[in-house]
Amino acid sequence: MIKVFKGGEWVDGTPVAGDKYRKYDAGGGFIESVWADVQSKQIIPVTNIIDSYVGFHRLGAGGIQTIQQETVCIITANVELPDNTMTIMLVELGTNDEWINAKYRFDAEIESGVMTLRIKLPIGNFLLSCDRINQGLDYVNAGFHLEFDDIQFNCIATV
Amino acid sequence: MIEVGKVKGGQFKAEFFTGSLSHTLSPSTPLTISPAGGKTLRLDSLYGSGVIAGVTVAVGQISVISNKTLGNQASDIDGQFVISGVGGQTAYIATSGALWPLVALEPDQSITISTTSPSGTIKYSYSYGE
Repeated sequence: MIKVFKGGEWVDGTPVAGDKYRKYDAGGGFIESVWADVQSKQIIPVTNIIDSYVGFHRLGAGGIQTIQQETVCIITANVELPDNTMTIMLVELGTNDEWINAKYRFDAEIESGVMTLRIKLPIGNFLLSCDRINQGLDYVNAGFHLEFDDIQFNCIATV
Repeated sequence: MIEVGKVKGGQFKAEFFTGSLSHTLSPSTPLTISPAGGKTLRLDSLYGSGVIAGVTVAVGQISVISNKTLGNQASDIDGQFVISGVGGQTAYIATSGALWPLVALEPDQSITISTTSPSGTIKYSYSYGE
């Protein structure tokens, strides 16, 4: 939920450049800043994100999703975009969480405002990174950015 | 003095964690993080996508890191700092400039991150609890 400071109070809304805004987390805390020009590109929020798994899955501390190589992860979300196919890349993370590459790519289908993404990963640590996807959107001059919290996957070996 | 990793009277017990978040920091876009009402905030990790000079971190009104260079995840350079992840998250490997998570002294206290650099993207995560 985003609130914008207008008329001396915090109200629900979409910030524009120069607006003070608060973005609330699921626990009731929030971040506060000023919406910057660099962020004034149209922001499409990705909401109601639901992840489900076919195969082994465990939710670890820090919200990290532990899966196995055989696990298929299905992510659905609401996004106000026309029916289309969007390639989504995951960033492979190194020992120090540095970005190594973004070569793991999967097509997400958008239909009637619902995005469905199916992924299957090799052993390693991967990030479904909003920043990286937005970099890709900039590269193809999409004219908008997505907004969602990153999801991290820890893919472990099958014994 | 700000205690790190603890709150008054014992160990910090987190009740809510975020994943990795990002924010474009500039002199006009400082970032203030506030916990849910009555909870104590902990800044679990903080680093730059690149190196960002002139970064200040304040707990409430107190600057605990003042005008220092924020490193990125590949940094291991004296004079730069990062705040490392906590146990359970994919941890930042401690470098010479890595600090433990920063815990506010009191419930409801916010943590503000600001910079004098023109612009830079920070990565951060936080939690709060009692």
